Amino acid sequence: MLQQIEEVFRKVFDNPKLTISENTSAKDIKIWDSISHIELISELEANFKLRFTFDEVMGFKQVGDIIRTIKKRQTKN
Amino acid sequence: MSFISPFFFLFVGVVVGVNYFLPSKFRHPFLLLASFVFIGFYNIESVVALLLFSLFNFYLARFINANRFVYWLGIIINAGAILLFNYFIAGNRFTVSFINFQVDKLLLALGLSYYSLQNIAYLKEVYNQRMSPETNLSKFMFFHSFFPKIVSGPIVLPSEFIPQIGTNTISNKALISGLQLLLLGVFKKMVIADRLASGVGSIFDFHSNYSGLTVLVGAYLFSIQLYFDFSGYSDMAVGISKMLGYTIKDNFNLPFRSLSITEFWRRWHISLLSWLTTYIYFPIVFRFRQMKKFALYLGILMTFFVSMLWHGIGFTFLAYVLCHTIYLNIETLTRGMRAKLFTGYNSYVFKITCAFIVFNAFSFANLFFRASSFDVSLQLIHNLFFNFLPINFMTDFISPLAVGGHQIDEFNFILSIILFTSFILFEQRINKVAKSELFNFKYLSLVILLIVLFGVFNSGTRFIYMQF
Repeated sequence: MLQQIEEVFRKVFDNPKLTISENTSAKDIKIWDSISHIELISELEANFKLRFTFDEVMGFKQVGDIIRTIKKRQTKN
Repeated sequence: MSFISPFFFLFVGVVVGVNYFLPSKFRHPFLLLASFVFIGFYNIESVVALLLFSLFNFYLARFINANRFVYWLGIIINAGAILLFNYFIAGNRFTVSFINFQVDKLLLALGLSYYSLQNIAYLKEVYNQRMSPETNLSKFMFFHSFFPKIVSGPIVLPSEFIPQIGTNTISNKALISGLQLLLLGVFKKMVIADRLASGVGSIFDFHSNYSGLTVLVGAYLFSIQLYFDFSGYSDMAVGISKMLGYTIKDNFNLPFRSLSITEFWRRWHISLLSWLTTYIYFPIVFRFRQMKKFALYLGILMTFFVSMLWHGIGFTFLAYVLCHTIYLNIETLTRGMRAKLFTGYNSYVFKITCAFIVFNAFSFANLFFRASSFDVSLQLIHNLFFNFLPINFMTDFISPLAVGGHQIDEFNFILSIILFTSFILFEQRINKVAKSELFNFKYLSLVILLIVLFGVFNSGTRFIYMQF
């Protein structure tokens, strides 16, 4: 899943060499701001075919939070 | 009671001393009483307004229970209070010929527009079941009335402050760090902001006489005055809170080192922007996220529109927020291109150039923010672009900026420039020392000496952001 999310990150941040880990946060990616955050969410939703809730999105502080939420959603379905 | 008065410092000294020696369980009732005394010195209507709004929101939150009607009633009343507050403020500034009534002091209450934002956040959190309604009325009132933040914030979320009540311990380290930060705030206000106030006033208040160059320097100086005035107040608020056992987040983080306007708004008036981002920007952008970039433009526009309504009613504020909306939308449009540029050119010169562009953009918008009317701001901008060079350098440039043009005024003006330039250059290091929990005798002596030698003691100026 990390690899799939990494592809989304590369597309949104327009950086084909970008590598991420579960601990990657906005501090590690300079242009991961409030503007790109929403773009990222939109791309992740399209990629994983799901809709996040507002509270889930507000809770995304690092990549690990995104992975946990997606896994939780996939288990439910 | 002004934040910059001997009486206020005496008040703080007594409150900090008594609070330190009181048993923990008596501290918050004591501070609640002290806060009401402080607000009562401003006017009694402010105490009544605070009591009414606290009672209203405290009980309303208990009945929200996912009830949309009750929730919206609370939002409308709190937001309405901010709008009426600004309407009455505007009433003092602009003539409204078809309505003639007295300004209601109840709605011009001290800190009303700040604690109303806190109340809106509180109701939203309770409605969305992210927090439970507070059950202790005195804690809730204390959260709103806490005197170090009542005048101009920082805006604190209930979830950040209420859990600290009753559990606070005051270490000697917190006392030292708080005192050092308080003195830094006094230095920023008295030595830099108030020293620049007269020069800025002469440019903006006698606008039509001066050339574009004078207006440009006046706009730069106002940006610097605004920063030192407001961040000075915030440092004082955070410092006093620390000495009383409470942690409040910083409101500024080296804004003049921002390399873009987006970054600037992450470093300037952080508590307001954080509120606006959480409760206006994110919900709008999230709701319309399928519309991609349009959602971002709409989010930015609505965020700054709400910011305008909070700051005040008038064309000057509208123009100010339009400037920033345009800046941010341009940055959103060019984000990819700028990211590549930053990767390619990461030199010191490039960064200084970016910071200078941001400072110029901010100062340009401030022409609207500071001008007494929209016509005045247009006149200043006209001079900036069509009447740039002064005809007589002494009377059109030096004299208005140095307010008088005598040798002593010129000395004062040059001294101000040396002081704030040195401060901005070494700001990160100064902040580190001020926030340190180690007693720094050299730092304290130097700050006190500079305040005594170069502080403006008779200005009587209030904090700029107190009007909002």
